[in-house]
Amino acid sequence: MPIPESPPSPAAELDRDRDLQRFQVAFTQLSNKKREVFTLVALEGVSREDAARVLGIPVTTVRTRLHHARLALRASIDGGEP
Amino acid sequence: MQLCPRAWQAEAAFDGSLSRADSASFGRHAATCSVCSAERDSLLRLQSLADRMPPPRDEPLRRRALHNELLRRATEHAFNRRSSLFSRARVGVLAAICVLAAALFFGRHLRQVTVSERAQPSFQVHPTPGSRWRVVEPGRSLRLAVEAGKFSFAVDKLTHGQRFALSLPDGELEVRGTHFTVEASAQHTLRVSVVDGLVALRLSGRPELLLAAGDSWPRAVVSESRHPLLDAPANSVAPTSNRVNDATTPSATQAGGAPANPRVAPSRLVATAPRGSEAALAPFRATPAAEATGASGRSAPSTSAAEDFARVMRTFSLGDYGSAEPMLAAFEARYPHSAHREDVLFLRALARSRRGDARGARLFARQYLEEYPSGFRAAEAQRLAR
Repeated sequence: MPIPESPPSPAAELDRDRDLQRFQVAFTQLSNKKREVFTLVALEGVSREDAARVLGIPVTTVRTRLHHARLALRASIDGGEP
Repeated sequence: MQLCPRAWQAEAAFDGSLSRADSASFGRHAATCSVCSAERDSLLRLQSLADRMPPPRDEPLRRRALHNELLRRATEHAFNRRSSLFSRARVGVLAAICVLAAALFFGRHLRQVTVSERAQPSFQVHPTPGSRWRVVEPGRSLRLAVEAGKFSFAVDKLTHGQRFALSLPDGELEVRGTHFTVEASAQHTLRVSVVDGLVALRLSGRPELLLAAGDSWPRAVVSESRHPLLDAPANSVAPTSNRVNDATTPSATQAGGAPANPRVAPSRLVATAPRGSEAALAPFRATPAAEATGASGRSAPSTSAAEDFARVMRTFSLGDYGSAEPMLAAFEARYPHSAHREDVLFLRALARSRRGDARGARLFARQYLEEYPSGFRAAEAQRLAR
């Protein structure tokens, strides 16, 4: 009989909520160009090629904007300002 | 701060951009590299947060808004492209219209010029019953011949290259756009009256006469009038003399040989009284002194002529040129060979000039210069004759 997975501790639960709030705040503070690329690729799972076709920009531009959007979000979640 | 040169491959491997071999190589590297391992964990953590993002509640509406926005942009783009095409077409159409209008205008203008230069002068003639006339030379240099009778001519303004000439029994008459009447017998021209415009009358053996509006020929008709201001008392005048009248008529000139003053100048032909007031004028009665003067050429002014001239000069000095000019004409008609003639001619030009009649002033000034080319007033007359 498998051992049931133990529920996360309350501290870990608080950390996850805090990170999610920071993520949401940082996400809203992204520029429009970065946010639309991150939304299409990271949230909606659209391929970079399709995103480039929808947005009318080159694939390399999609990758660049996605990279900078991740940097900003990670900086915000790690405690810094986006 | 990334210290591993392969840290960038963490995101590429996470996105699946690396080949299978590179991805496996990076996996083995990340198992031993804390930097690349932390980078990969950070990306996984970020993605897990992204996965926890609540889906937008208004997603269908947002998609519809985006779709509408896309349609709006597409429509705007198409419209702009269409409007640019329309604007180009509009400019082209406007340019074509301008070119067409210019071509029509200049073509019509050239055609009008050509037609007007080719066409003969437009005129109307009203002969009295029994009068005879004919066209001698048709065309733009139109020449008619008046044989006998009385005619009223109205010639439209002549354009460049057009001429209208009238052959008279004893000369010719050239029109420069006018309305005039001609009366002729079989041998002689009896009378020419100009209602409007300018006429050049060239009779055989005589210099050219320019008859302006209101002028008439011969002088005999007008010389029978006298300005009231010059009238002497009835009981002091001598019997009427026709010698001067006869001298100015064609028959008298031919019969008497060279006249004392063969030129019948326009000023003599201009009515000596204000137009329309001939009926109010007393008949001309030449004094014996004037008659003697006319017979013997120019001499010292007689007492009567001096008084009349002084009277004219008083009016002229008062600045009443409207009254002075007819008085000068009447004086000239009464004393045609007076010593004051030179002054009278110049004063008539001056009076016309000061009344604003530049053309009349020019005519009288030219007449003065022809008769007195070295006169005392020659310089001023030349200025008025320009």
